[in-house]
Amino acid sequence: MKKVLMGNHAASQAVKLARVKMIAAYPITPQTQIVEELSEMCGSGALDAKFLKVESEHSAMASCIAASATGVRAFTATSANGLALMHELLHWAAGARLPLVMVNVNRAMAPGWNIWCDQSDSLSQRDTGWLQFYVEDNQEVLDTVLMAYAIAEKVLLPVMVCYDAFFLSHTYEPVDIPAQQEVDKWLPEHKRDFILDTNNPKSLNALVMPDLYMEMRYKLEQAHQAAIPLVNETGASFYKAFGRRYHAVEAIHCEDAEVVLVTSSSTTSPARLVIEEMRNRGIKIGLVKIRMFRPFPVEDVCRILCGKKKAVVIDRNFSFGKGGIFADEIRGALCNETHRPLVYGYIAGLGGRDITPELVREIVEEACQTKHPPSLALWKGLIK
Amino acid sequence: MIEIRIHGRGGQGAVIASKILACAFFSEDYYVQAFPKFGVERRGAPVEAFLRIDRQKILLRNNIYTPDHIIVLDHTLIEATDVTAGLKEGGWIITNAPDKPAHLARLKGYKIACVDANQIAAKFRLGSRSAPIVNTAILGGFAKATGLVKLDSITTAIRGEVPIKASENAEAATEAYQNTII
Amino acid sequence: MSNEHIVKYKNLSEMPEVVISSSTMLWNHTGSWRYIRPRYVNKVPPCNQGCPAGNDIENFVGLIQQGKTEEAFMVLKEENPFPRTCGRVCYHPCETACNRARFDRSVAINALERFAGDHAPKNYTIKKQRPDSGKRVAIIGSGPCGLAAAYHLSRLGHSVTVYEKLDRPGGLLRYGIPEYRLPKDVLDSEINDIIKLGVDIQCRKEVGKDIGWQGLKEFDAVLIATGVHKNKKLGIENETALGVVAGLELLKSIAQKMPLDLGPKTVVIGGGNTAIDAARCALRLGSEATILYHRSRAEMPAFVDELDEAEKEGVVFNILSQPVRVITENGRATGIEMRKTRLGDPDESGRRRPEPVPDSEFVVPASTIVTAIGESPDLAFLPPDVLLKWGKIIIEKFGLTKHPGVFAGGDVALAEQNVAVAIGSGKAASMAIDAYLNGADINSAAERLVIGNHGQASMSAYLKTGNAHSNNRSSKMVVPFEDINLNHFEKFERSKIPKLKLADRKQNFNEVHRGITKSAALLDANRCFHCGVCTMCDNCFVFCPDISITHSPNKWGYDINYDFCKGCGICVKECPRSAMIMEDEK
Repeated sequence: MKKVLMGNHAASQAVKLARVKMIAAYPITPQTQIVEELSEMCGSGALDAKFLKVESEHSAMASCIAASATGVRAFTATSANGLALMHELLHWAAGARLPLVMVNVNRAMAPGWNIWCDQSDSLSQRDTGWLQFYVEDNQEVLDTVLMAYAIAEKVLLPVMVCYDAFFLSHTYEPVDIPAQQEVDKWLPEHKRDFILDTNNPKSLNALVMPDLYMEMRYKLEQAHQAAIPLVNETGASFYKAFGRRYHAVEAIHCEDAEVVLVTSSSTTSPARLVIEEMRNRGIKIGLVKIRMFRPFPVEDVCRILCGKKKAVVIDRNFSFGKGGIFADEIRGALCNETHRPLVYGYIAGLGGRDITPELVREIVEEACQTKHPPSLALWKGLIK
Repeated sequence: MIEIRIHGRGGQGAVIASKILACAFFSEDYYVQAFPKFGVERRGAPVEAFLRIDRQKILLRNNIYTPDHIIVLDHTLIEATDVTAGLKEGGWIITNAPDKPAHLARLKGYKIACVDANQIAAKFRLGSRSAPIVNTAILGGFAKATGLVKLDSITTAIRGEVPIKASENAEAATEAYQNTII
Repeated sequence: MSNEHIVKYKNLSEMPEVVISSSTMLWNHTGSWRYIRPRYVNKVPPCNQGCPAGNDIENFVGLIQQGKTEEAFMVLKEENPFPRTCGRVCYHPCETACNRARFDRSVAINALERFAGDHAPKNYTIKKQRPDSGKRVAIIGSGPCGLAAAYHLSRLGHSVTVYEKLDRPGGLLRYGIPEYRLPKDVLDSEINDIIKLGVDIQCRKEVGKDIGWQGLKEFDAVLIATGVHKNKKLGIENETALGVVAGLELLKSIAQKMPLDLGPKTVVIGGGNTAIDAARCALRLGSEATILYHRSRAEMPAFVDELDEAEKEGVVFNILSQPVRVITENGRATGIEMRKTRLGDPDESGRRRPEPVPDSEFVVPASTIVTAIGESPDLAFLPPDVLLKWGKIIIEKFGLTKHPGVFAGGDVALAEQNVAVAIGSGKAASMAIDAYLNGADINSAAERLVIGNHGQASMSAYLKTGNAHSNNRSSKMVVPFEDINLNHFEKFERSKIPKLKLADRKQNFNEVHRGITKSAALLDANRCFHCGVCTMCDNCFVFCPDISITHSPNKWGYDINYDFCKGCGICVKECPRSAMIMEDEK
């Protein structure tokens, strides 16, 4: 059934469809409406789940970890400073191999105090062991939350679904909500071997000596690597069930492109407009949408970008002292490739500033005209 | 693509109005995108909400700067803020005001429609006298003035989206439709 | 809004490294966002409106709370010369109206009134409000209405003469309310305050007998406050037999300390306060006491507290029975034949009409039969142009009769017969008389004087005295329970009113209800919501997100800076007691 939904409610509808059993959360703008609606669903009985009010995001994550350890589907949502407060426990959730799903609505870190869009909050949780997806529209929000449970439960890793504050979270657009029985068929109840069970008491997550810790870490990395093909397989099975197709990486008009624009999240939408318009003018340009950031789809990125002249990356985030994070990951992925493109790193739209088609076009045109990319990121739209 | 900007004051339901209007257009097979001006909304402070409608998927992800039409929930905003900023020439201004269009002559170059939504809200007991709920009535005025969307689609969207007094809100929109001064 | 104050950086180097204010935000008059504005309004607490005597209840309770017992007492005395009396015998409709009743239990206002009266220092003086006017007022009857009017008229500068037919002043307070409810020394202390003002109370002077109506012509105005004394007849056989006595007559004899022997068994016919008082007196005089009443207990007009106490003391209630005839032996009553009744449809009073049950007669033996089914006024002395209805004097509001210069109040004119109502009507009449003597019409000021929508007239409003919390307030808004923000109150047990032990009530007329202690009074006064009255609790000041509310530098209360107040309404929402309103911007 198609309904006009805000991004946050697309997320909560997905959680309902996934028959999540336990939700713990603490409110923070721009995420609040997700758990607000979920609490109403729990209150009305529309969703048979325990809703736990907690005093901080740290406690929210701790509660989800505990719930997930008993084998049930758990969910939380947060943003920015709330996510940062969870940091310690993000490592824990991944190390404990819990198939949790969390929505993070990308919001800028303070100060300056800012509630608007910026990806730096979740990207600075890059090394916690969580899978990360960055999605483009409200339909993709709903679909990705569903797929996140399917993937998480196969590889036993937690998944973070990230989307842009306000540009998606507070924007209403048509979303196709699948029927519950269709979702039940596609995402059946999940059974795990390692759970807290009073009938079969076990100790979980105890001390691991140096002789085995490294092996535990290696197995975690193996799970990440296993997730890469799994994401595309899950996308294919989702397409079969619901008619919408998703990949770790989406390549648009890249076959004949000389210059490829690389984007993530909602920035991809205006980029689509721009490349269509430029191609109509005969410019050989393509677009890559990086949907999965962790594990990083190194192979896909190399396959698509090698042989191109230029890759122009727009980052709505920044790693201080280095540069745009997506650009850096792409450079790292490409560095041993012989036919690698020049990588132009642009920073735009931090703290909720609009990324308009005009700005995207300006970036592409500037990169096209610049022979060699500077080693440092290029910040667009600053006051002079 | 048609872009619409709604001006109101925090608490008047500009965002809900944009959503209801989005649902109405959606029911007429438009692709829609409704969103608030991404800011800190405070009761009484001037706020804006936006709506884009198109026959194909909308790929813009930014604020609306050059609307085709505007809706004003509180006519005092016409004095207090620059409601016509970026408004395309010949665009509609649908405002909640007791006055006849002549009284808004300052706004030259635009088509003006007035709806006494305060009075209609009072009649249907929507909100209080000092804070009437006008965001549903004004949409009847929008339908009448622009002819872009059917009144039926508006009232159906209101019934689907307004949690309390849905019928009264739908009737208010109908009454506004019948009493819009153009 | 002027944008010229917004800092615009010309270039990056001009911008500071940290987020730091570089100018004031005072240019941003957020008040322009406002379409409704908060305002402080001292509204009417429901207790004040509910008091038939028009007491400024919230005000005196607040003063007790602050430890200012004497000031509390003086606030009471502004409106009512009988706080110590009312603190004992009033049936406290204020407590029924009290918003706190719907939260836990009402504030013990009646006990607090008594506390203020009993604990205030005794060396106070009641000041006159106005100099001598040279006008003279006659008051017929020294009951609660007459004396209240005398008190206020004297304070208003008029010379007052009160004519009382009996030996001593007080009327029903002295002769109708037994000592165990109202000790005579308490009553005397309050009457003395009235005498000290210069009121001339002439006892044993019955108008119509000792002084003719024409004799009152020399006065500038006359107030009739003679009350009701004529005992209603049962209308049955042998009603005049020896041993059958009227309720009020019995109570008067007891008050006059006449030797009485009721015999072993007293039967009282009736369900009003007089009946209950008579029965409880009979117990104290060593007789058994039975009340016979033709409806059920729920229909009894007596105050519930009194019914409860009577039952505890041993009064037997024989309900749903009506008298048929008095049984006599040698001209003396020995019993009463009764008939069972059952309740039919409601009558014009709204109470269910008792219907006799055929063949249900039974006999109750009695040594004394007290009839107390009601009283009516005795108005034989009146000139014919004072109009009567249902045997009572027809008055307008404030006690005006059709006869210029003649006023009436209390039981002689009002359907509702009780002490507080009589005191209130005496006060209202005093205002009407004062206005009349000054050539003014009280009705033109009526709306301003009435407390809330339907309360009694307020003397502080009449004299325009008192502060902003007194009854001299401009607002008529009465605070409903729903407007109290209960989040700011905690439930707290109501003070228990100590009572004389049952064993200690036998064979004496010692006062049954005792006063509460000072600590209990403070605790109970603390329970008051102060509905609609600012107590400077600072909630508005603390909750205002824009620091737009500040303490007024030189006066009670707060100032609102409307340049910045956005009209968010948080102050109004968080005011615990609804002493603020939001109103439309003009």
